[in-house]
Amino acid sequence: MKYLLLAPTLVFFLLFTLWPIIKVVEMSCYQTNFIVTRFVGLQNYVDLFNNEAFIQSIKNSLLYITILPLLNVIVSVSITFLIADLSKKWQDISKILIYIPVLGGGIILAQVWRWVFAIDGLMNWILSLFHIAPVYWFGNSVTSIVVICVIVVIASFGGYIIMLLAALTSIDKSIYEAAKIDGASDFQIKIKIILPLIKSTIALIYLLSMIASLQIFEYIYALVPQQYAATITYNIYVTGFKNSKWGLASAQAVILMVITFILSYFQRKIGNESNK
Amino acid sequence: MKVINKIILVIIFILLFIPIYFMLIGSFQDIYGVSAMPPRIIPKNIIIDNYEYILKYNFGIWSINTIIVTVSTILLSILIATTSGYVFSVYNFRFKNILWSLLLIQMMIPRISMLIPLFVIIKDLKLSGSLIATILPNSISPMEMYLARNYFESIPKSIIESARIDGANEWQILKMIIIPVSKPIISVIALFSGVFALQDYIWQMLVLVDESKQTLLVGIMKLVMRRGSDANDANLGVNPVGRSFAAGILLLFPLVVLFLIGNKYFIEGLQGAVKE
Repeated sequence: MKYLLLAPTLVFFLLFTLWPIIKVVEMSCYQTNFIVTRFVGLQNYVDLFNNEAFIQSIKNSLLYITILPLLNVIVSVSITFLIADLSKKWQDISKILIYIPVLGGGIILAQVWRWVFAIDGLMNWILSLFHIAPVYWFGNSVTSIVVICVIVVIASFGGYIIMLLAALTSIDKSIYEAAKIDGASDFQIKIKIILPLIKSTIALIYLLSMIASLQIFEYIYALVPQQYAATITYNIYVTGFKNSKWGLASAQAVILMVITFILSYFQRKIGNESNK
Repeated sequence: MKVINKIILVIIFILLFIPIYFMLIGSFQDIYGVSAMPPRIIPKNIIIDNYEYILKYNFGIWSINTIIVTVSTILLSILIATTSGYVFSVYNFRFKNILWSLLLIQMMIPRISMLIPLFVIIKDLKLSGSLIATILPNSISPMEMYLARNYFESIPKSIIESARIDGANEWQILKMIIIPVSKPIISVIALFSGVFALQDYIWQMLVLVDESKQTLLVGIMKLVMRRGSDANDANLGVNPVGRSFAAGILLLFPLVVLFLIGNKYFIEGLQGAVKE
């Protein structure tokens, strides 16, 4: 009975999780465009060290994972505190409204972001009100990455806020009362008492946001004309699907897999230790 | 204090919805309407050309394909997540913990690292270009299995035990006890997988080459997609901005409907991810 129930999961797991993982490692040892295939051992990995586009995408990705998780945590925690003080009706409506940009995340809202950050777009018009010359937002690395970070945060904090609000409801109300009687201000209670209590949820959000920032694809695909803001994910797409260098793309995919594993491992370790 | 919270929150919501609002009204305007700066907050003359442009192509077939992909992904996801979640919460067997960690491993693997080998596997399975290829790999989701297991763990074991003592067999327990109380978790899985299927641009774009096999996401985007920057839209004599806005609205619509139908369960599900 239990094996019968488990059968579909196991079939799907073997075909669409385990097989790809083994396959990608195997592919990374070949040079192939599906017409000519040649075993090259670890040559693909060696080549990557001299591959400028790859090195650039690693640097960009490091920037994203430094900025984005922190920004996401700060924004979502602040807005969560704003919402948490309000009545249940306000909270319920907020949860719905705040999640709609998440639904449009990726390619859908990229359509309007292009207009907002076009050379003659909304953002430059706002700047012109302050007599600032128009900026070519997607014309260089720095502004491209900043804009992508802002767009990504807007399309992701809704989900994190819902998780944080859930973590808040599980806190015992008597803690607030006790702290208030002892004369703690509202702000003190939030920083010194509540924040430490939802630490594990914050750590989870940080981890999720970190993994997500390695995977940014649609915005770069739709908005940035050159590889200015490319993540590793985008570079893998270009190498494999556009340039048909499948072995090289697989080697990058394996490296990305290893990076993500290491990051998740340390993040969990730090999270576990701070919980003790 | 609460008044200030509400004011700040309302301002945040207004900022969040500015892009979506301009996308909506821009989709009903001509090229001069959408490129006018300062932007028109109320559209001058409403036109539906942008929608007509999109709808006159294979909109019907694409809609049917989208429904097929979304519904099949939902049904398979429900099957896989509920059965595995149930087995892992109720039964004990050898290697249970190891198997569970293996099943969840995909959570820590970036999507693109899977897509490169999956593209080849799909080819090997002779599924290239078919809708099935976009359905199957998305039907196994560690997050959904995790939520399902959590849910079934919360059903008291004593109920199952006493049914067993009364002589009920495993199928009867499933039918009489488990299935009747499973509606919330099934809704959660349905929503998560449905939203995922409706947002999965990268994979659908890579797999669905044939126009008659495309989903709305791929087909519509191909009609309106302009990559990178474009300062000279108005010179083209057509209205690529308005069309891309109309595309965004058409694609956002089903997601918002799905979310509003089940937002109660959706939020419950996200909250479930936080519980230990």
